[in-house]
Amino acid sequence: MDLKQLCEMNAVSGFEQSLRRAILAEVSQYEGVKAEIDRMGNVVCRKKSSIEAAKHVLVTANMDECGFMVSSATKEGFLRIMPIGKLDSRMAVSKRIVIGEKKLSAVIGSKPIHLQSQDERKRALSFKEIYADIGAKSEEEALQHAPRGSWCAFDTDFMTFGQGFVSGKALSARAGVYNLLRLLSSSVKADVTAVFTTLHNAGCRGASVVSFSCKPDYAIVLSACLCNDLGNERETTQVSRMGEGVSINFMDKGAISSRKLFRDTCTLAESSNIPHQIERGLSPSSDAGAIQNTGYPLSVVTLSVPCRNMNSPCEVMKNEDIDSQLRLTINLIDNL
Amino acid sequence: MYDLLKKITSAVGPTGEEGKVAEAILSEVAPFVDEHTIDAMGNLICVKKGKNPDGKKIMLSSHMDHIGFIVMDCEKEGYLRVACVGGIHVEQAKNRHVIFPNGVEGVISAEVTEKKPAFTDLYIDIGAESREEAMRLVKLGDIAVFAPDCYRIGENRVASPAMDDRCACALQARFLQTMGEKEDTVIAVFSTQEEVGCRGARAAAFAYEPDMGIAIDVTANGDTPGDKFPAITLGKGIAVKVMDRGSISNPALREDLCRCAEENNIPYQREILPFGGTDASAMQLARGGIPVCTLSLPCRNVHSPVEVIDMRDMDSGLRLLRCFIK
Repeated sequence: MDLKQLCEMNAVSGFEQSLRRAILAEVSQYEGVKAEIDRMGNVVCRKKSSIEAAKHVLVTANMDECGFMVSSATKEGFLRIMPIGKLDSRMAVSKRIVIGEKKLSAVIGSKPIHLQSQDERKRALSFKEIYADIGAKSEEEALQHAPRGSWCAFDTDFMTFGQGFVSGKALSARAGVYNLLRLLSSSVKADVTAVFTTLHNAGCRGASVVSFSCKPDYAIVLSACLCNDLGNERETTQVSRMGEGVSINFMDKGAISSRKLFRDTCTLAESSNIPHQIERGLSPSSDAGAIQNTGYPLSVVTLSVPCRNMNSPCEVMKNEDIDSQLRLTINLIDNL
Repeated sequence: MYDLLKKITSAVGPTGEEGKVAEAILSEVAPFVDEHTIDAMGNLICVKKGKNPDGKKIMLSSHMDHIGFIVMDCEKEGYLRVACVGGIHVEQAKNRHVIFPNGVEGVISAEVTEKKPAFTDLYIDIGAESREEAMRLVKLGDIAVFAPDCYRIGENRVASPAMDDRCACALQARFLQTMGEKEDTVIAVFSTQEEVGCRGARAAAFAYEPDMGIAIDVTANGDTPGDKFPAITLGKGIAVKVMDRGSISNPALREDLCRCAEENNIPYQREILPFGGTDASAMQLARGGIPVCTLSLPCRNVHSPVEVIDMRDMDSGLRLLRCFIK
């Protein structure tokens, strides 16, 4: 599966079934990989090392993307939706979405600016004031096609643009999934447990059970990080920069990376000439906190790909940064 | 006690990088315990086995970490931009002497602004005149703390930026040195990362599965001009915590501790804190849950560079632990 196919699949937090099945089908073709699904819906894959007396490394990436859920319908037939994950209501308006397994098309709308009062123009509309339009004419008709609890995902095509840039929805999750699949299909010098986690956007819940089922020597979390390098931001609040390589994280709101593992990772990236940067900001909790601190303590480091417009229908990454994340992961596993 | 306190408060150990504190403590307690280990979170865990093989496993936890400033970036003129690790009020961070674990010293200041200063206005001057020079001295991700400065005030009180929670570490260390043989097994955890959510203690409690947990931490005071709550007074004895926002102490364990203090004429106070939490909150919910209580050392100006405790409260805490643990 390539990155385009992965991004165009729909797997909103809590509804990762189709991606789970696709991953299982894919890894069944890889040599020496055993896969199973745990009770949180994580896909847990194990691959043996190519050399004897190897270490055991846990590598994770989350599958799920942000999206919406249908909560009710108005009598005129418009659906009320609530966000799943951290979504900015300001960027939801006028976006195309698909709803449910039947992939019903819909458009998110609100009162047009022409009719908004001065006050309304100044503030962002909340999710209570926007709606999804599926072309229904009544509450019954709307809920018949899109029952309460249906998931909604952004409807965006994947695209490549500029010099090696890619854009699509769910890139912040699927780049990690893509790299984890590529890792499983290569030969590595350690025993690897690769876990594709669920419910990252709902509080890293899939990741919170992972450490109970394996006791690795250390863990690598593949993630995406904020990239605030457009516009007038001063350098010290940019967090990361596009094209400068995989971002190594010393701390986020959920976990402080093990000092030694963090320093060793930086040293290894330097000596192997892998483009890398140090993340310059305190990102929200990643799966690292959940993995480090729910069972036996683990040494964890997070490797992130810089991502512009995170949690939007058009996330942007650079191919070379995605590749650097994979290169550094393999290098760590083979050498640490 | 003062010398032990001075040694442990002088070690530089920010949240996330507590190694030097663990070293200082281990040098004091190693000869007195049966086993000691440092786990993946950096916790220093010392075990003193009890004579009774069916005895209780009692976990004690005091945290080694100290709130700090993590280097996020560096301006081209050599000033370090920071974020806080743990709960720091910006006002406490203006114009202070700070130090990094590698020995580099600096001064942290806030940009002069019309509005209230925020964390993004803070910067540390380490004497470098360019980014290149600064990055030779420290690295992104290094964490600075208020510089150690331990001194006596009068006969009984001691001030230091790190009383939270090194005075408890000193108490716990002194307990290990003087406890002698007991029936029950004591698992003394010197924990990490308490200031960001009791992470070290959570891991230790999961790994060792104790029967009960006693956290030792500092608490606020109500005996200075203007501060009447909580109703805690320095020098009136160790505080037995009824509740804070992190945990409600197990009532039976709490009363056992109070009764033990009364029966042995050990001064104590009951404490209720309408905010905050200790390692007890993490120990209480480990695995299937265990009874917990916190013993608190009354402390003034918590999370400032001048935290003040009374050594008489430390002594009463030590006596209580010695009498309570059989």
